[in-house]
Amino acid sequence: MLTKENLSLDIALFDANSYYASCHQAINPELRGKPLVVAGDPKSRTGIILTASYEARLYGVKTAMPLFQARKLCPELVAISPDFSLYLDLSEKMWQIVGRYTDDEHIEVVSVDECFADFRGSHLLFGSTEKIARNIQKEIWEELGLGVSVGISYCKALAKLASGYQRDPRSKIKLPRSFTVLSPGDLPTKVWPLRVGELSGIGKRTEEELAKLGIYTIGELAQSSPEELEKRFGVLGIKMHCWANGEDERSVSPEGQVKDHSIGRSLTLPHDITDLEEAAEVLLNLADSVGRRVRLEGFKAQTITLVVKGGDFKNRTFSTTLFEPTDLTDTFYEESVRLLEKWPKGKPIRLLGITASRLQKGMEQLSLFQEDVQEQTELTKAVDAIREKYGTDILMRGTQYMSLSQKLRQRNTKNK
Amino acid sequence: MKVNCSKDSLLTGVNTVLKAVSSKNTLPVLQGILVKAEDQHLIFEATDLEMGIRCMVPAHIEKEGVTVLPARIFSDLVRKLPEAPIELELENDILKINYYESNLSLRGFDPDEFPLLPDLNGEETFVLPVDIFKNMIRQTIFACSTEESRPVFTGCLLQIEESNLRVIATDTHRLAYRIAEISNPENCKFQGIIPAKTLNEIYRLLRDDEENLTIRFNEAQILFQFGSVVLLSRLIEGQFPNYKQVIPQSCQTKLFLNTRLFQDSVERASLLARDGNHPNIIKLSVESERLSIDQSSDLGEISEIMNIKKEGNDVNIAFNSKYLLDVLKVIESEEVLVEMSGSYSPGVIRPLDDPNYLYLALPVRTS
Repeated sequence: MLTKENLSLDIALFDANSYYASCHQAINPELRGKPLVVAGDPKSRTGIILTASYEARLYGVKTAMPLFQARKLCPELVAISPDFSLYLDLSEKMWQIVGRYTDDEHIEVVSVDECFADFRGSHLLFGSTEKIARNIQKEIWEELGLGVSVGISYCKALAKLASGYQRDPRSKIKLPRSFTVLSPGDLPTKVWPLRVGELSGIGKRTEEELAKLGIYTIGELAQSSPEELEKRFGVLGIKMHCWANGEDERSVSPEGQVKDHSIGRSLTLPHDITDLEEAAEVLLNLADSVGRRVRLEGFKAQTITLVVKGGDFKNRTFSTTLFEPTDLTDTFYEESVRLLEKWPKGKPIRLLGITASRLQKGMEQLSLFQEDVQEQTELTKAVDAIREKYGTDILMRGTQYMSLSQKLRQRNTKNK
Repeated sequence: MKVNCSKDSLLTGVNTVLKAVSSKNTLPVLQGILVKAEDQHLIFEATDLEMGIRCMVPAHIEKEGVTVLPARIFSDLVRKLPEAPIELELENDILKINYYESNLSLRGFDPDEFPLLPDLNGEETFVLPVDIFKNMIRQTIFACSTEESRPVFTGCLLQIEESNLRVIATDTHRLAYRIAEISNPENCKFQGIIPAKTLNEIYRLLRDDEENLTIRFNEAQILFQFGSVVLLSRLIEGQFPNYKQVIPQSCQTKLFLNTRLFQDSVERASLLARDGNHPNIIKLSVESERLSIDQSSDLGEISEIMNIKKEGNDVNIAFNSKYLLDVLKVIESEEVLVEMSGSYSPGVIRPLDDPNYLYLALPVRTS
């Protein structure tokens, strides 16, 4: 039930602006103020844009746009390749700054560039949520050079909405380093006129379905019948109706994400491939990266999903549920290679992705006869520790090294 | 082929072999049942190349012959036939089934394409007592894994060694072990992993009034013969892990529990253990002469208390409730002995009055 007590504005969402691009601008001042994109492979004509900086967005450059198209919109565009360890590193530093103002139990990291915090117990020490969040925004900017937008409200759904509330009036692009507070009284005036797609959890598909019911704005959603919505959308229908009415009882907690949470990596290949060995090599890199992330967060995953996008741009997913939850790179790799066998032989592959889901921690079913798994675990831990100290590239598997050396050779011959 | 028989004979034959019919094999003939009229018998055969079953039923044979009929439709038809004298007649590839004044016909596959079931004649033979073997299957098979990526765990290890017959199954989270004394005058020796699917079928097909079950085996296959049924199965390749090593030789805590009361308590507690990420995990704590299972979830709370007889240390331990319930269901003894050594070592469960059965459940680490 919503009572006065839990309607106080304690919840903030911090959303880093154009995160991947901003990270590069943060560590390389020369890139600041320039239209910048992070793209799958900047040298390849067909590279896909992962993130565009605010400056690039003003030209109409968007995420997932092919690079050549973006260059047409903005000839002076700077393109660089992704550096995931940089993003992880800065992400951790951002959330450490948030952690100066509330305890870990009230911080929920949603993704590398997004995090909820609940400041209900911090007011005596640090003042109002607004004051705290302004400090955090300022500190992240001054210490790390990263812009974050802040949304504050009494529940998660509205805090999230608030963080993306301020738009450029002409281009409708979200403004960087914005700061918005939505209080319960703002619901009819500020929230209800917005389109339903602005609510997180409502994707394009759902938006289209809602449009068929004549529901276009959040206000219309709030006034529609919850029974009808449930019939059509199941549990999500009820949730949508509640959120539209500003009712969201989800608490901010580190575990809050656990249930629907997944960790995944994907890569758009510089050119379509048909060779399974080449695909396996890509999977090894993805598995390595997913495995590290899963271990970093202290999870084990029970389900592994392989995403394959064909040359025809159609996605197919294959997944497997493990008997034993795992955090081992080798298992992610082996299972995804096994799943890839279901992909028709010889059919061109454009993108590969691995996702680990049904993540769990805290409880572990013990097993018999698992000496090999224990050995793997020890080895993986050692590798992680060395990489933590000396960087990701210091240790590679044989095949990863082979492919890297091939790339270097190719680059060298090109340069000559 | 021309045959007179009853609906019952047809039904027995079809039902016996049906489970061996391949469901996904691309070879169409494997989706069929071989029907052969020979020597005053109708012989039915089906195989998915992993397991094959043959069954013989009495019939009046006017003219011998053989065909392969599509299993699904043939079994459905047989089930729906009236209780009347039935005549089968094969002309070219078409089987005509006549009853009363009605008839139907069914197109068959070429029987020459149907794989032969080897008889393993000349291989080593051994006779197992049916009642004991059936019970051994029942008390172990549930511990097999269904995960195809680790084949050795998807079957039961069968060992014949001197006067001992052993069946062992494990999915690495639990292990079931059953030993029986048998007469083995010729000192037959066997060790092989039999697919759980095969043992399930044997358990289903073995009638309690059958006395003996003959097995014949070689390195790769095992054949079971009982009544009018022959079942051939491949053995699972690979090394079964050293199960003896993991059975604890000592323990720090011994609980003496009433089997049914314990089962009921665990069942009730598991109903409230429905936490999304860790379903079915229940926490047991033993303090002096009391065993309590406390469980809480979004659904509600339960606090189960049992007064018990205990020797040794107090202990707190968590299990997947399924692993406890599975074994409690197959133990007939009134009392069970549960042995534990701290929170992270296997719990051993055995019937108090039967030293020949043992079950190991690995706990869940909670932190």
